[in-house]
Amino acid sequence: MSGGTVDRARAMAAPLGRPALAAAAFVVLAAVFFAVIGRNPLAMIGVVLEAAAGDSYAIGESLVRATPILLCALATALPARVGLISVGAEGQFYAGAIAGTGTVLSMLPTPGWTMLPLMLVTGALGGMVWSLVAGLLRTGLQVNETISTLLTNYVAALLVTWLVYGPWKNPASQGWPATVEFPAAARLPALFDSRVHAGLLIGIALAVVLHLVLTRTRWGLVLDVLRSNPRAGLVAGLDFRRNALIVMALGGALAGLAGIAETASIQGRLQSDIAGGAGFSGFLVAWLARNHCLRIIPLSLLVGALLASGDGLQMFAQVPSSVTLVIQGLLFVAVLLVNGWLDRKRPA
Amino acid sequence: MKLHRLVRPLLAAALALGAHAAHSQTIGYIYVGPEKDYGYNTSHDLGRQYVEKTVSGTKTLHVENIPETAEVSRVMERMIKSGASIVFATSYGYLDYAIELGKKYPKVAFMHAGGLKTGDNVGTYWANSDDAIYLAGMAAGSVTKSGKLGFIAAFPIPQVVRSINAFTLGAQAMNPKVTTTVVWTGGWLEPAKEAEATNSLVDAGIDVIGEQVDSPITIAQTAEKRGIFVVGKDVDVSKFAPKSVLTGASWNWGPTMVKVVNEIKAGTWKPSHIRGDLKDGTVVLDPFGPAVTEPVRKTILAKKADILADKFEVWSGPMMAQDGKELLPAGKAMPMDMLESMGFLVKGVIGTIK
Repeated sequence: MSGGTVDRARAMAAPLGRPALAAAAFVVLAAVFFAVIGRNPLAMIGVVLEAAAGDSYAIGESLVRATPILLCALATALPARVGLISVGAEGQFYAGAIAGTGTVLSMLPTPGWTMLPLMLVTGALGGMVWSLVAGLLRTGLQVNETISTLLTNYVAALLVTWLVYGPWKNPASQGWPATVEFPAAARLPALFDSRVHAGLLIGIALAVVLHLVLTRTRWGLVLDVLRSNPRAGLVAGLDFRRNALIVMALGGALAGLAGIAETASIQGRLQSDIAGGAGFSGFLVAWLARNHCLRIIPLSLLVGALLASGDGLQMFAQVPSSVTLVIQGLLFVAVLLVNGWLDRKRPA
Repeated sequence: MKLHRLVRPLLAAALALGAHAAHSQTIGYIYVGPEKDYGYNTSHDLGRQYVEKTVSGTKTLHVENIPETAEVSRVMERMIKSGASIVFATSYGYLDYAIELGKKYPKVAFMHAGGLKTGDNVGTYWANSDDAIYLAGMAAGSVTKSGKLGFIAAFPIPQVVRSINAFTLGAQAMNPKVTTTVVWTGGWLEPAKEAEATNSLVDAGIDVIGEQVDSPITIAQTAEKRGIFVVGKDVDVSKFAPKSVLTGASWNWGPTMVKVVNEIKAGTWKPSHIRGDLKDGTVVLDPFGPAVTEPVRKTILAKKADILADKFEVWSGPMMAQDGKELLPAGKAMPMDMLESMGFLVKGVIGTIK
């Protein structure tokens, strides 16, 4: 194998090349799967494409689904820069949703222009506080952050359930456990004539900013040292605890923002189950993107589009929902394959 | 848009939808669980199939496993964008989303299962199973040898509490001494917990089980293995548990759905709360299993005839609460609000609403 081929392959694996290769591998895998279950692969892939991006409505819905995944992926990637494995985006999402909802409810019935910014800030703070619990447990008591974030996810989700069944239940909802509907003042501006909201732009902007900060600043370098060589970091006088708390806090804030933005702009009220697995999808995206903030953008869009297209696939191709789950799983397999293949070719 | 135009014809050909291109009406159906759950969702899908078969020129779209969140807005809107002029939103939590979307699409008709709110173009449909469950309870009361019945239920909401009480009252009509032990599973579709609950009830000497969860299938099959009996609900699963199923209270949504669809087509439909029951055939007493003897069948069918002729009312006194306090004096019918918000268990039920 000539070095040239490897170099070219690696050049293609620049931020956008890797997801593109993964997408191609995914199409091949999906085609094989459709053929195996006896459906015409071309027609079925056509259905997926149509449901994910066939018209402005489909594209909008794919972007809607991608928005919280993008923010939750960033919330996972950031702690990973110092080597922390957080699976807590789902819980931080709910904590942000709770905190932001608290702000909205406390400002009713006279919402002013301050409601939206206050709601977003408290939402981010909610996610931050939730994430810091795991961060402090790690830095103070050496409690494994993967376990603590995983467990606090359940606590946050159950807290939402308790609130909407109890103190925050809308008395006019006839038994349905949800808060009152948010006022228009709490909605982020929508883009075009769709449900896509400004949270998407915020997420993309944050991904770019984070990428620059992590790759171009001294702080980014500090994090790299702490992750790849903690001993050297110690010798150089770098403070692991302080930096671990900072990345956990910032990550939590991002997921919290995702939670309150989704609650206010898409759901229009707080209720159970609204994360729809965005935190866990975000974790997978971050992992597939190797915590590379720019690569997270296209992968989030890809995963969001695939999740949003599931019902279209059921509707137009008359397949059970399990088929859409398999297709979603194949996307991850495709990315794994591509990552594995490219990394194997990397010189030792 | 371009891709849309490109893919559509390809699809039509490949999926052999082309033959039905001249549909005058598209109807969307959304289910909260699996379409093949042999329970709540299957009952609605049977209704869908009936509509497709009965109303000519009708095409249906259906999607399963859609959570009761803003996800359902996307699904409903995609159906509408694909030409659906009627949407059946078959789960309770879909109601607010249907009403919201109804404002955006005033020409689309929405039908919601069980809701208590309507909109300008959002109506609801539901059916009262109490009578059929009472009759099925009679079968349970006649078959039990231990006098101990069980009831496996999802959540202590009024609709479910009514079923537990109706089942118990029916059984007591045949055998006044029977008790009903209630087990809550805390979820509509919890097959592992349902099987576990069935087994522990059998171990406690219970020999007939009633249920109100998403589907009777797990409980019926477990009961078949353990050699005890069950009373089903929503869909008749006797072919999966031929010895165990005594009878059941099944839905028959088809005719109601066809009626609504025809009214919408004719332009005479007005959103309302359509409520069916045993009398109008939306609820059906399932065929009896082999364990129900001929004299018992006759007694139950006679009671059914009384109900149909308004000679017998399930929710009337004398009725005692669990603790022996009188709920209704003899001959008094239950007031509507007491029925709709039922928060008590009748005498003979073992368990709590908590």
